[in-house]
Amino acid sequence: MTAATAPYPHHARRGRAHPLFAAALLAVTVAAAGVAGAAAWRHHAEARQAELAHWQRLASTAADADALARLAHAAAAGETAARAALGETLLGRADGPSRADGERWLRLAADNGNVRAHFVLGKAALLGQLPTGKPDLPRAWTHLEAAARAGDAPAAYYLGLLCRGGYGRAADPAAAVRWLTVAADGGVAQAMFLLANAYREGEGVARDDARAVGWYEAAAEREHPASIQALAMAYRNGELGLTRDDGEYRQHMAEAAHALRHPALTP
Amino acid sequence: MVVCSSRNCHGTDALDSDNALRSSTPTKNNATRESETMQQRIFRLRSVTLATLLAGAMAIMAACGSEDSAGNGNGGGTPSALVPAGTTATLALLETTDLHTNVRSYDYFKLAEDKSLGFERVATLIKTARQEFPNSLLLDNGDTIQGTALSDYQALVKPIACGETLAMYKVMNDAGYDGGGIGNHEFNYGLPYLSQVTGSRFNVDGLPDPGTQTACAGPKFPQVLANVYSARTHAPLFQPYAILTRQVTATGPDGKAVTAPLKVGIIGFAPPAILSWDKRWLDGKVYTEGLVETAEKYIPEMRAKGADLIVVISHGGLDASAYSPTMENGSYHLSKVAGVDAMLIGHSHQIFPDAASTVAQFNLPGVDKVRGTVNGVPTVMANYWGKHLGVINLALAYDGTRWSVDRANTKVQARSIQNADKTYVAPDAAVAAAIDAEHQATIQYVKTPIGTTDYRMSSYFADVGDPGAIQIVNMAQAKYVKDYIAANLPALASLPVLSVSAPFKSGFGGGNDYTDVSAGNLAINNAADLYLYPNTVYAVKVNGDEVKAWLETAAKRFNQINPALTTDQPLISTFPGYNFDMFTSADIAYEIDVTQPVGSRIKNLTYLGNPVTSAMTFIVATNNYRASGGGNFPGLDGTKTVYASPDANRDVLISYIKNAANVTRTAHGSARSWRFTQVTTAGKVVFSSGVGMLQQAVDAGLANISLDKADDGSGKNLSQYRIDLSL
Repeated sequence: MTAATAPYPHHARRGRAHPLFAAALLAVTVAAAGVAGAAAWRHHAEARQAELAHWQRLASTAADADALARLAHAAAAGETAARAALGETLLGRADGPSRADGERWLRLAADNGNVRAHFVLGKAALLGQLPTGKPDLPRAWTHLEAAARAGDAPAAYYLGLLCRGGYGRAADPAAAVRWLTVAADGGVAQAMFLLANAYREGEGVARDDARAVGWYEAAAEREHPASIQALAMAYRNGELGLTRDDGEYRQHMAEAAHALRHPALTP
Repeated sequence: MVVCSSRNCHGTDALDSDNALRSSTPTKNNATRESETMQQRIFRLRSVTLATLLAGAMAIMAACGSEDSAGNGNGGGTPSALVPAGTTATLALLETTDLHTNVRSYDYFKLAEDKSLGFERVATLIKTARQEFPNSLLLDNGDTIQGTALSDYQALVKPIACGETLAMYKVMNDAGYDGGGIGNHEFNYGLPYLSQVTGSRFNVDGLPDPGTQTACAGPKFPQVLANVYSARTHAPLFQPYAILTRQVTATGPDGKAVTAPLKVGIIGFAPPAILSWDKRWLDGKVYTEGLVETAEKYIPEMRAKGADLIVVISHGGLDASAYSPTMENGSYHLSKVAGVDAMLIGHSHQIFPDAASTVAQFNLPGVDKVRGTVNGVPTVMANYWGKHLGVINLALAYDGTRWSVDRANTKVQARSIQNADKTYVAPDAAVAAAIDAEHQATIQYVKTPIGTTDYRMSSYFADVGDPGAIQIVNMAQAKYVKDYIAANLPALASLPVLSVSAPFKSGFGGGNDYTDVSAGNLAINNAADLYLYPNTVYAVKVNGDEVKAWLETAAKRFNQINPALTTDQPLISTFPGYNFDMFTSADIAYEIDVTQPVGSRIKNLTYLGNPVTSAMTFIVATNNYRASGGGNFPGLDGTKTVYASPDANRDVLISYIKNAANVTRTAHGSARSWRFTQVTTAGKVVFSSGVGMLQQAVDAGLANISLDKADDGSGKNLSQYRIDLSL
């Protein structure tokens, strides 16, 4: 859409220019063409990402062989993002050979700096979802740190868990709070919940009921059932500096029940 | 149909039959058919190369579009020559959303009226609005067929027959809805059910060929959903859009009333996350497309078919973060798609417009929460459960070739069923009358005994060892998880399955704040007393050390007792009772030594008589709150979950009781996994519980409890009891 419209102002501008300003016009034209070119390139990259994401959705949720073949073709041609998409798709399958293949493509993409591939591998390594079926904590740390440092909020969430629980290293509650904050700022509701718990308990951060309530509420707005329930309980019992309020309690209970049918998804 | 074969043009039987069933006017019938046939064709050509596909689709689009226009004489966006330029009109879009089968103003758990909600009251607002506005369309946003005991009754308890219409759709048919969207909750009971009750014939895996299906009774208005597709056919599950042609009363440039035809295109969207939320029903059967891509695909098509206006019915809220095709609340980005004239949104259970709203999604750049616009597009969200009616009164102007929305004179409102004086509008009596049989049957169902108990199941002494109200929950959870693992997770089948639960009601609110179920019949509503919270069952995999750490945290429930003190010592700390997780099984045993500091209280923890060690692995059944980190228990951070069930703990308990039929103290209320480490104290150790409840401790076999003070002095209707820790 933007590709088709982006060049238009440039042509319009050129049509109105006076010949005396030819040099200036040339500069403007070159600059405008540059801008339009960058926009077109950006659009092209976005369109390609959307296309890969579309194939990945079809290949994973609809088991579409044609979409998988397209991903495989692009991956074989060396496209890093396609390798990540193909790898993630295959790693999510049930059979061993597909999963091993998936890990291989993800590694290739991660070696090329693909953030999503780092995240997928790191999460799988933490949760024991690599083809070995066992957790690989050193790899979890490596991949999740790489992705989190690149600004990936889901990776920051899992890195926060690693810091919180230790997972092969000494637990570091303060670092956990830092990474969970990155994830929470990035919209991860489960990170908001754990961050609220940390403020509530004073774990890795100074105890602060008001901030705890703030994060529970932020997660509640994203339909995170446990956060809504925490607020319900607090209104029932007068916890977290909240005044006991039967109306708020019942309202939050009803919302928690409702949210359970479509909980905020953990990345 | 000359260019296309009839097979090509009417290929999707499900959609086509929908069409025939729902069409109330020939024009609408043709309009919707056009959209469906296009889908069909595009799908049919998928296997060809991209270039061929595009060329083919465009050729067919041109051929069929023009042909259908010629056929019905009003297509192609050509306005009637009778309407002069300068004509103006208004069109009120009336929205309901997230009704969740709250037909009556009634709470089926309390078995009592609840005037603050219910379609029967919104129906009154609809009548009023129709009197107020000369031209209106009544549209529903979805999340319509699930959410109360009534919906469960019709879906699960006594599933409605093919020829019957759901109570919710029945009253919507009576109210004369013009169209509806599909929300995420429509998928909660599975695709066969959704296909049946909407009068569809889905062409998806798990259902027979549409040609052999019978189209059942359903809504008499078109239901639109553009971004959910059958994995089998790659065609939309529902018709993606419909074009409603209405004769509207307008005002000519001379000020005189004229009648003008208006074609309103409605297009529906559901949150792509349905694939995760209802994975068990949808996995591999349907897939979703992004909202923006879908809108960009269909809106030009709708315009080409003559739609004067495009009304988006988006079951999702506003989220201004970067667009993604899987984002849950995509309505903010939809507002920026060219050609969108108005948006009816929902899903978030909020009110928009609302000048006082503090909700983050209504305080974004481009969102005018006073006027009710999103990036300039008039938008309404009508709360939930039939508490509000959304109204967008579009001001329309005709310039001789097309209608356009005069945004400056368009007004958006969310109208409450509550009056300014806090009373509620009267219900429309016809609504209750239309579904009285279904309503009464649901009440009977809620009251029907699901089993009996031979003992009074209470939590008055749960803190000091009575498992009477907790063990049945643990037994139900353990059995449910064990069965699931045996059937679905063979790799875990060799691991022992344990269960924990806590006394959710343990007196914090006073003498009435305890679980207390009388001996005798157990009904559905007793289950809410035995399991207070709306949780779902989760199973976590933990090792022996993690089990011990879990119990150490739970044991914070108690103060540290100094045996040498001669003064009274309160046993119960400020640690909430709802976090006092406990096992209640003969297989696992432990002591809680309250003379020790927090973290060193669990002693002699054994499983089947053997000490529990880090080398042992267990599956522990619990709930979503605990498994995802609620209560901040060490190690429980969401990563240990091996099964996140969609089933509610309370429903699992109900089905366990139904299966057991007779609940007994011996079998379901006497397994004490834990006891206090014995210690003689110089002074009294005391705690509070309900007044006059000592017999409950006696009946539970707790011989070390005595009444200390009839009134504990808290003013909360509690007595003070003493526990002798040496016994």
